[in-house]
Amino acid sequence: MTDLSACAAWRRTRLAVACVAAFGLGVAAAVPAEAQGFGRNKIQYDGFDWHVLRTEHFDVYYYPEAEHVAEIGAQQAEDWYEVLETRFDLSLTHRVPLIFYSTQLHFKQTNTIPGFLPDGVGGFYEFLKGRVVIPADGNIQRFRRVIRHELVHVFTFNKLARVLRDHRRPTDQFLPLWFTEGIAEYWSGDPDHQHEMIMRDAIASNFFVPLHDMDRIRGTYVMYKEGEAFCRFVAEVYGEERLLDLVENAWRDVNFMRVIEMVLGQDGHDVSDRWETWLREQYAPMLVDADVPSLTTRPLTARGFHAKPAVWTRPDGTREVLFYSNQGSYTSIAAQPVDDDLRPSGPQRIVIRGERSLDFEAFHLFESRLDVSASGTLAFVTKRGGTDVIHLYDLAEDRREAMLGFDELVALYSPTLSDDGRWLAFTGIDQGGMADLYLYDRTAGEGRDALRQLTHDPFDDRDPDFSPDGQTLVFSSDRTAWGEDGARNLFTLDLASGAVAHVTAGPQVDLSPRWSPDGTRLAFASARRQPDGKFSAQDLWVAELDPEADVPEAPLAASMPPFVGTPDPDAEAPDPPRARLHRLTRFTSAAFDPAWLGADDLVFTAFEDFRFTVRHIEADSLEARAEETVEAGAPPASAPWAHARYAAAEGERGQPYRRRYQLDIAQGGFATTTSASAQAGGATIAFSDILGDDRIFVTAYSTNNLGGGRSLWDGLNLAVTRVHLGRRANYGYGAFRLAGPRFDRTDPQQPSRIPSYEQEVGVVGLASYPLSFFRRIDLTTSIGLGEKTGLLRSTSGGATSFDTLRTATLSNTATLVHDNALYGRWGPVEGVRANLSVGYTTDVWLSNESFYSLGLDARHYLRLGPDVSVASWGLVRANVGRRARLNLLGGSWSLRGFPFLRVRGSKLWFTSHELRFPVLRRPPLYPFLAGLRGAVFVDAAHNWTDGYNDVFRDPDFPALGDGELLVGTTKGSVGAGLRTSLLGAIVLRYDIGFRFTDGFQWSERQPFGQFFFGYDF
Amino acid sequence: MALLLAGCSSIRLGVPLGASEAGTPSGPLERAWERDAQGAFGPSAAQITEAFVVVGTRRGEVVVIDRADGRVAGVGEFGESVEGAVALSADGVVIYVPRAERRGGVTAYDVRNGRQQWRWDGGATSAGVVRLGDVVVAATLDGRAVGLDAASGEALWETRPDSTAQFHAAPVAVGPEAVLFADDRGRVTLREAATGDVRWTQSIRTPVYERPAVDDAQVYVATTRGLLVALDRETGQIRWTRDARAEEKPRLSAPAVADGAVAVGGTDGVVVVYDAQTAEERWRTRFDANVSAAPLWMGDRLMVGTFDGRIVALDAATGAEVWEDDLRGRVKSALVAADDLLIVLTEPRHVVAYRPARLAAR
Repeated sequence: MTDLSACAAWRRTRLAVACVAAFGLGVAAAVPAEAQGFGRNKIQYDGFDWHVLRTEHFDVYYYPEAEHVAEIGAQQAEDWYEVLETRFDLSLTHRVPLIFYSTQLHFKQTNTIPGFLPDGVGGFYEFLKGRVVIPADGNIQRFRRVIRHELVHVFTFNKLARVLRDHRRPTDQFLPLWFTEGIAEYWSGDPDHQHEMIMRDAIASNFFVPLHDMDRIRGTYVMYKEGEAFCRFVAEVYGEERLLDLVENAWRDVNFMRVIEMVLGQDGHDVSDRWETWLREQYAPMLVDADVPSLTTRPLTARGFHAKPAVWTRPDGTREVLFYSNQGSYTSIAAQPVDDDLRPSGPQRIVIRGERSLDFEAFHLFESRLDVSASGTLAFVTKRGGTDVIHLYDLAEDRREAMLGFDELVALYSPTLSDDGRWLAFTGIDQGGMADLYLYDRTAGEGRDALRQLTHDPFDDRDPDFSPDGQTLVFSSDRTAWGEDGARNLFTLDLASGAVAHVTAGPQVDLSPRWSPDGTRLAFASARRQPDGKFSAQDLWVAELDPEADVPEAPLAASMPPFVGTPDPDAEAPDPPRARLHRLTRFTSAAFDPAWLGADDLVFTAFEDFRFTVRHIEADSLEARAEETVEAGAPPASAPWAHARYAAAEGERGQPYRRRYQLDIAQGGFATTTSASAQAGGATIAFSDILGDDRIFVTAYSTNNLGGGRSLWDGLNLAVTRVHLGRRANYGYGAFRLAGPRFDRTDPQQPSRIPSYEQEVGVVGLASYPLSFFRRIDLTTSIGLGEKTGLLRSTSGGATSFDTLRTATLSNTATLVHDNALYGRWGPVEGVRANLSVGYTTDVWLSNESFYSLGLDARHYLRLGPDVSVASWGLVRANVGRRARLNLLGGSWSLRGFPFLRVRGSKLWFTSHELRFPVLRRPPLYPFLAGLRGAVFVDAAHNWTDGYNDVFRDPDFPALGDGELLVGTTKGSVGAGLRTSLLGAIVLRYDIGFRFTDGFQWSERQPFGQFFFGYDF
Repeated sequence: MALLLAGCSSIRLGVPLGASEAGTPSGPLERAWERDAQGAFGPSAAQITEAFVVVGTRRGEVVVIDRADGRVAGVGEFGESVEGAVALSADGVVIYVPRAERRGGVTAYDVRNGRQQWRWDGGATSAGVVRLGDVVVAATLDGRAVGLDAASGEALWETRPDSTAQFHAAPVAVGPEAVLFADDRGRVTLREAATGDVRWTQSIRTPVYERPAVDDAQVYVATTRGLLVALDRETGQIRWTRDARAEEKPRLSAPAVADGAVAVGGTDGVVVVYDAQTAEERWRTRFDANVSAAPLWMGDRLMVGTFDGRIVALDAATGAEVWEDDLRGRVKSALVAADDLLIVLTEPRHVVAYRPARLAAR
């Protein structure tokens, strides 16, 4: 249940640091600035005290705060194990590790996989160690469903492995992702309302993807739901057993379509057509009288992603609709002014720029609503570090009034303000993963009394909204007997007594209620159970409240009595709902998050053609001719659902976690050539613990191509590094031995093209402290004893002679890294990334070298359009002192038109600018070639080395006229290039251009061409 | 050519396998030998003959093992996978091997000299074959029942499927002249082996993936959805049905019937024994792991193989566990026994032989 395509580079960066320690500390010591990279930070904000609970089939990892949800999860896992044991006809012969987090924000810190986990990831199964990792995040029903989903993955993976081993097939063969996710969805429960939403939309908007083209939607939400629909189709048409047959017959062919043909006994295209027909037969009748939102409602936004609207009425009566906005870039909160006819009256303005700074690190786009008080204060939530915060923003003054965070609460959702701005209600998720309603008094200062917990139970209470009089909250919750099946109803919470009462009742999903300005109606979104058990489209509804209801008129601030924190258990049973429900819309797909725009109009998020847009409808007229009017329903006779918890026997409670290393990767290789009598081989082994917090890397490499009677030991390179990632401050250490022939282009004393023999033994220490998601400090220190033998120049710049240079090099580097760049398929597309490093390297033994290093690498990406951007790169490097190492440029990666790493200097600056644009989005051979892009560029650099410039005479490079690499001159190139991507993974680039030197004096008439693979800078 | 020869193997016993044997070893059991068959096993049981144990593997081989000492006497290659039951000629000279790959079929093979007698390439045959008189009967994955001339391999008759029904359950001989088929649409049909004519057909409406069992009066069909059905052997009328009590209906193992009792295991780990005539439940017991392999009656014991790698003997009268042995891996294949031998096929690819303790001690 995870799309990890968003994995960012930070972890890779850290591993890269470790790898530098392992593979090339000699280089790192010489040019420490180059050892630093970019990337954002996965931060361990919380030092979890891990425990392990052993159940019959699982090892459940949890921390004390999450014990409650871990017991719920453990019981669900054991229950579902029995079900899957039958469905897969398989008993697992090993224990499965389940790692539970209480909240999504804790889950984001997991080290079990590299990369970052976006909000939409509900859990994942990692097959290297067979780990299942899942957060609860307040919704127990969803938590349990994700457990079931991931356990289907566990069984599928193990069943497939068994089948392939039985038939002596390579076990690296996988089933298609759409099938594994589809069967996981299908065998984890009935289709939910989101499944129906996606499939209805796929049919209505005609983006349904046939079977043979499923790779086109790989990793998308549509893929999950289409895969689920296919499995349901197979089960209903061919028989449930055929699903397992598809797994059991996977050995027959690596092409899964052929497996489908064999198992279902029909041609693959026939199966696909039959599936599509089966779907259309189900959904087409539902669409006959349905309305297409884009045809029947007015857009306030039409392109990009826009959601969760809220309305601000300015003091002068003009209005703006605020919403989350993303047009393929950073997510922001935008405001769209509307005129009296509620049509857009001007361009959108950005109110809050998100995802670029600590305070606005990320929004919860699908979980948290916006709200604007009558006084013009915007309330919204962002992730800030390890927890969420609520921002209160004065829209009139365009300034932040407050930023509220609460120690006891990890995640916050959907804040709502009373009209006078004093009271703030919201959903909070505590350290234990329970979602409840909270009330905050902005006038109470920072004392404990300022925050009060309104509900205190395991139910998922969301999207509160203040009544206009401030006395009552309405919210959506699963606190009924139907809640176990995912149903949600609307409830009111009387702030005076704490009593909770139904507004709606039934097995439907009622979401996102909003009071009308006069307090007589509630607008909300609802997906209703139909007679066949499926959900209807998620439509807009209005609850017309009982006019007989006693509605206090006094303002909240004056009438608020002392509040009782939890509902009175002796209070009378809630009254039955007193409302009539009018269905305003009958959409083809779905509507979300209605907000009143005046007394009679609504703005809402429409989902159509797999896009989210904000639109407007006239609620009043629709209510008058409602699609459907029903009573609010009767409260369930049975008690709210309860979740079963795993009851560990006495003495078998969770035990403290003890770290044990397990093998992650073991790879080796060996190469030999008889003609040159050369042999080389190496191996890499990596270990980590089950939580991924501790890692050990061991690398060995050797070559016998040394000559001179040297032994195998003389060519042996060995490195061992341990990295600890379990705390906010990461650290690592290791030892290394580097040995072999070496042509060191960074050594000013080493003549060109004549290798020397070098060996170095030392230790390295690494530390990294993240300041925020975007910024960190990296520290590296190392000391190595080195010995280099060969033709060396004297340090005074004199003659070259055969000599041995012994050093004891101590190198220290500190680097400040900043990265908020957005990445696309081809590389960064927007934002800034930069690093500034300083270092000092000295020979503590004979002072053969002693120099300072300074480096600044800054890259800026300006987005001109959805696929067009300008990338600018500036680089300054200087190594100053005795035997200061040289910095290197050249090649397609940096200074194009100049040979790879041939442009050298102890000091240099470099700049590159590139305009990047699409050429073909679907070129021939798509998706093998996943697009074709173009670029025009200009590169320039200047390099110099005090006293050593004569070193750079290079007979291999006469193209620039005098056989020198133009040290002391400004050089560069201009040109254009094409880029394509193989399978969306490997970027290939080819550039053509002309070189120039100082003052754009062209040195040659022929253009150069240069091929390279790798992402854009 | 040398490579090709090196890559091939054959069964050249020089002697017949001998007639098939079935029986009941008595007394306590001891492990006699264990052999790595170099390939995993399908759901079918091994064959025990007078002198050998014959087993097909998912590696596409048939392995012949000397039943006395467990030595491999011959290995023949027959394609990509041998999933179903191998049939033998009455004299044990020819084996009929079902081939499960996409363009599979049946191969007749003389084990004395390693020569292929004939080969029928009619389609993937996962379920297995059975020989009745001069006819070899096969059921293909794409839902066809076929009668082949045992001497030539010529198709004597063939039925065409009228739906996407498939055969996963091996055909079963019912007397000397009839053969029973059950498909994954729940259709059970008794046919004349010589002509393919239908004697009776019955629908039990739930998929059958496991080989039915037969006694003098009834046939017993277990389904993938927890249903065990007894049909009249002569008419096909449903005599009784028993449904698993579980909410998640288990896939049932192939049933085993003897002395008026029918036993069946399930993926829920439950083994139940019913009275074959009255359908009254005599006892049930539950294991920690799946019981997908067909159990086996051995006198006063019911032998059960489990997915947690155990072979267990249960008291036939009470279901009490009276003996067990731990194996290398799951038991997914049916058990089979002769007078002095019990053969268990376990994961990953091992054939384990048990003998009565007194014999093993000799």
